[in-house]
Amino acid sequence: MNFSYFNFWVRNVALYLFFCLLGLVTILMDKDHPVHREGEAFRAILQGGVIVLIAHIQVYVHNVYLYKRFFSRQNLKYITGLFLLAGSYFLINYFTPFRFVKNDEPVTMVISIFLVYLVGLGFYYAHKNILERNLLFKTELVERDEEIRHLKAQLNPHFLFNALNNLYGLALTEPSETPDKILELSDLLRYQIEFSKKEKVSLDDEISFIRKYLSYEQSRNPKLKIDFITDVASHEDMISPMLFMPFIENAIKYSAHTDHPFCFLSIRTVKKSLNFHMRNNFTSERRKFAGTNTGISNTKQRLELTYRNRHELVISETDHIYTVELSIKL
Amino acid sequence: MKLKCLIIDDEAPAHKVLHAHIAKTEMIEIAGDVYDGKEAIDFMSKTKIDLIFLDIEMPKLTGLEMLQCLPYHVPVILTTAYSNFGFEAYQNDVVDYLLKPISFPRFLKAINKVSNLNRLNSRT
Repeated sequence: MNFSYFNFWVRNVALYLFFCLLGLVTILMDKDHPVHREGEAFRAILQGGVIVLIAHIQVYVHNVYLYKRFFSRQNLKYITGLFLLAGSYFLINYFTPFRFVKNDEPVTMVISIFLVYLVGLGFYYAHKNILERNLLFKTELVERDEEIRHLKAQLNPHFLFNALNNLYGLALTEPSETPDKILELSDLLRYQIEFSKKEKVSLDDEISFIRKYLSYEQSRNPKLKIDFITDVASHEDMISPMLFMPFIENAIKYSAHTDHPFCFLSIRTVKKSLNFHMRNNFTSERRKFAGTNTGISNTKQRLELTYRNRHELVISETDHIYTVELSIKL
Repeated sequence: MKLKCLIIDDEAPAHKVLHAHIAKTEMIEIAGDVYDGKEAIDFMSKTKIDLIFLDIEMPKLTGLEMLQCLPYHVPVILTTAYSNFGFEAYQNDVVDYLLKPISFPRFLKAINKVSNLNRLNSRT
């Protein structure tokens, strides 16, 4: 069992036990209560527990079925449901041996049941709030983590000094091409530094970044065969930045170990669903250098947090071919 | 006689820097350009070379791994963006260690080391 904030069962059981305890203390303090009479203690305590359970179920039905579905959207249905629910509570109390408090005035009962709903809703909201804040913090944390990983990867000496050395070589041999290459490199760096901080970026921007990144990698390794197909219908689609980069970086890194490296990519959108497909080759002998794969596990976490229940990721490895199939509801 | 050198670097543009520097240097010429360790060993077994420019961070075989399996002894100058492989490199008898981006004066210094070494060797 998972005792996290996400566990509604734990909350429900804990609250039930808490109210039982509260009820027990109340009836023990009440000197006239049947619990103090001989032979009736067990029955009185059991009855108290069942009453709390009934109230609990009432609150559950109210929160999960009535409030969530109808409140502020179909108020008439909500109010009707509320009265039906309260009515069922009266029926249970009057026609079963579990009467809440004997000789209760109907007005007191009405007030008490609505108070119960209110308290229940309060707990529900408190829990929901904690849960949402928790999710938000987690998402932010993973995003920051990914940002740092990216900056580290791109601002590491290997990338930066090699890039500078390449520019230097170009300036010596083909000075006329150098200014463009400097701009391309600064575009790449700027996007990674500035855009990776944002929560969402336009899909068009992200794709143009991937294109620049691939063309940079292509210039480093002319043997690498790259194919990048995009088919994006809308120019308004937004996406979490750098979501595909760990896959692409890995593809380029691992295919480089083969004699004929290739990396085929496609990004397609149909209405609000995006399909990312990637295929690259690798050699099994270099698996030991696979490293920790922080990038991929970060991406999985980010997908889980940002596109919870709205994505499907299938990674498969066959015969020196690595395939990633990712679909997201934007 | 000019020294025949082989350039081993997985990044194609990195070769350009060395090409430009070598073109300005009297005593060496390029015997070949290769992009990974395997190609390098194939090349060396066919052609006798006098000097190697070797990158460290390469797929398939890293530069340091390459040093362990050269088919015959030949002076090696490492060319890398990392400054922290120095010790390991000198354990494997490299002549010099050039940090990218490689300036021409620093390149020339490395070539002079090689030629001094060659002169010493031929005297004994």
